[in-house]
Amino acid sequence: MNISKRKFIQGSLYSGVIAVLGKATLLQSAFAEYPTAAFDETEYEPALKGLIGDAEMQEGNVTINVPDIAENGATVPIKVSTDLDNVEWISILGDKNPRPWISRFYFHGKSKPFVSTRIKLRESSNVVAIVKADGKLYISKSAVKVTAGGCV
Amino acid sequence: MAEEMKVRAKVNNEITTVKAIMYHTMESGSRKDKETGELIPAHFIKEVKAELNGEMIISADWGTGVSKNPYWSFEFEGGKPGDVVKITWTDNKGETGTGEATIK
Repeated sequence: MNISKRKFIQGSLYSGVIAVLGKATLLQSAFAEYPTAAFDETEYEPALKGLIGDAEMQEGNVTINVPDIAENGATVPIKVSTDLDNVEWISILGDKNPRPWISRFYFHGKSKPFVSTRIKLRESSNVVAIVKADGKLYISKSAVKVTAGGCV
Repeated sequence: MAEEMKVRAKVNNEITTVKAIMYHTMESGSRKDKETGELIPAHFIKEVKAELNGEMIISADWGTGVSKNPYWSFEFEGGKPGDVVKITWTDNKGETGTGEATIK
């Protein structure tokens, strides 16, 4: 009885600490620094590492809407959304671009975790979308065939 | 002064959809001038923010992979007709541009 009570108290203390940490992380990301480490890289893997470090990612929970075939790589429409809650940000990359990291959107207040934009793709590539929600990372990819490369 | 941005905002079923086009060259820095053969310096929007009645809704960091004359659409809850959505960008040269829309 005593032990379980102590465990309960410990547990609630820990969750209190985690809640505070979680809030600090959210505040920090609301005023996040420009991801220079990702922007500077000219290959996909280092750019990805520049964005998220060595953090683990789960596949799925992210919907990418892009054309299968893009006639003009200079302007490829893309929509990214997720059904996850507490989304901090959505980031978009193109794995064959001269600078693979493209953009990151931060969600505040009552914004929906959705973005619609247009990106440049140098050649046929995988478009990659990464979502950070509740401190966890999720990734989806979608292949786009580019018939005329964008001037990137 | 040239027009910097077109913004539209419309509320439907309590969700406001904003659509914006920002007039900017989004020069990547890796293209060469066809006549001189020299690289054209990078000139691109780096940071964008969207506010509802002065309160931040969405912000973004962009690289050179965002298309010329960037298009950006987003959605949020809590907007009412008459509220003002304001978008502001800052590019890598420190220039800024703004656009506003009243929610319909």
